[in-house]
Amino acid sequence: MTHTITWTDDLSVGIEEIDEQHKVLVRLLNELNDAIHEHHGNEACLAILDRLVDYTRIHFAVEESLMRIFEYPDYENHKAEHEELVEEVLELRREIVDKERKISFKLLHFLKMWLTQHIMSSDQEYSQHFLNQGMKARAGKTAWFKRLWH
Amino acid sequence: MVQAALALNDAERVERFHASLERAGADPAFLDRFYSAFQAVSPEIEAMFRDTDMSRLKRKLEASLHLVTLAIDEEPGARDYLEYLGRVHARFALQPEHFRLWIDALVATVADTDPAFDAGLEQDWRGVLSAAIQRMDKGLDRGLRRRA
Repeated sequence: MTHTITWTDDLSVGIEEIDEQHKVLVRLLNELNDAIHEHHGNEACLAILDRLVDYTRIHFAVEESLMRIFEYPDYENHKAEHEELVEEVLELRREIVDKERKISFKLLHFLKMWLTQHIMSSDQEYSQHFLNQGMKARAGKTAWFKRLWH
Repeated sequence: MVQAALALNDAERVERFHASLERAGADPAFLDRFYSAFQAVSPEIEAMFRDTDMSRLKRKLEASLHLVTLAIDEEPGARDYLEYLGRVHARFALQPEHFRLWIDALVATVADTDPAFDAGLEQDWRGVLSAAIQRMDKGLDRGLRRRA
């Protein structure tokens, strides 16, 4: 299916744990992309969107915890970006359900743009800070994130 | 001076904007000059950036300019992403006037760093940036109303 996001080194923030979570987000977004392009219908698309939102919230909570632990100076800005995204997506979801609108390419394009831009700019900024503060770039074999959502 | 926003699909102007951005960006001092110019605009702006890591700010400017180029090249989702950034800025009580000052500082910096800069290019830059800022204004307005 076309228009999917392909994971490349450009999207890596250089920390395996976070990269693995970003890969899950990419996979879910590609799943939504395929469902919309293949006309699976609103119910199926919303189910994928809900999984994407759920996982995104978990991922944001992890990032924000790490930012607090490592005293990331741009924490408030980054958290605002997270909160605004979740609010926006939930607002769009409400419109789709309440006003019986079809889930749109507009939402899909926005999410793709958000994910790639956010990872390649905002997330790249914190990753160097985490590494400088002693976070390991590679996780151990028993890392918890390898057991979740895969 | 208030500039009419450039239609985002004005191909010739967009082409000139890209070329000018490339020339200006080739100057290693471009990003530093911009923040010096922006902070000199007012004590309020200077205070906003007083204790901020400049290397991070410079990466943000690069990302912003990249996003502007995506928007004028009509990359799907880019204009909605600009609106989203406007809403994020509403959380920090920014006003449309701050965006205008950002444009002025950026155009002044390009004037200093692009050797081919002239009145026509100033119009191109202001047109492109105004079109991008219009989208951010829309998001800012929505964000401020949501927060009121």
